[in-house]
Amino acid sequence: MMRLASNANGQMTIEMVLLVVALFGVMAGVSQYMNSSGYFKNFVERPADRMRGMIESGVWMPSATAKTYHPNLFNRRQTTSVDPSLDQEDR
Amino acid sequence: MKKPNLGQAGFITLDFVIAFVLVFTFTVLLFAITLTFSAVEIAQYMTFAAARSYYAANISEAEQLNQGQAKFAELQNANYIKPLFHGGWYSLTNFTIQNFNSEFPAQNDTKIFIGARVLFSADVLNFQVPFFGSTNSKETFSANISSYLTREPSSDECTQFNTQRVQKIKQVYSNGPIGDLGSGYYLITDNGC
Repeated sequence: MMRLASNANGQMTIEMVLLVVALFGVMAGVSQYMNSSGYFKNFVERPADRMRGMIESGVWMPSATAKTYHPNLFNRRQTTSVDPSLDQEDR
Repeated sequence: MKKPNLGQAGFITLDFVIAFVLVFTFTVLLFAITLTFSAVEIAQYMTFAAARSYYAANISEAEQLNQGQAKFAELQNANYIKPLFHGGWYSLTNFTIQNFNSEFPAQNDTKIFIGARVLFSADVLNFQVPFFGSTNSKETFSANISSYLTREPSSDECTQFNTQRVQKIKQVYSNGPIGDLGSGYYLITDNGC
């Protein structure tokens, strides 16, 4: 009768190789996805126009729209008299 | 008896290398974005200081313009600011002081968008990420950083205005009950308005 090998040393090596292959596979997939979808490019580029709107006009909007909401365009009013509806304590 | 091989340290190293690239990239990206906002604030202050120098009354409008440009150049070449905008990460170009009113919707006051402006560019946001692509977009992130403080009238303008005003008053009263004012009165102005 043939004696079965009871040595299990190689099993761990094979599992390690399989894990490395799987790991490289996942990494290649993620890498390919991020390259093709321009993940990091979008990460920087997508909010850029809104950031530009805030920097140029102080409003979280695309820069062209933000110009129409620039604070300098607000109508400012002033009065030389006190509002009569206010109590004396509020004046 | 053969000693079993227990050395598995390399496996976690491989895992670490892959994760490290992603984590390091996000860290660098967030660092670059936050530093960009800080640089924007500094550039904003530079335009504000230039607009403030331009705003203050002076002999003439040309001198006010000189003051504004000199202030910006002084800040741009200051030891504590120069490395930030000359190191390749950020740049400031196209500095101008003028009336930008035509770029905005029509409004009653046509002089409220007078001030200083500079084009801010952030090249630091463009870099290559190993394995995962690049952050480079079609164009480098840039924005016009402005400060609109308008401008006080210069001494020349005030003198000119007052001279014209006296001439008009003389014309109005020349045929009036008190007669001709032409020879008996002299224009005296202070430092402007």
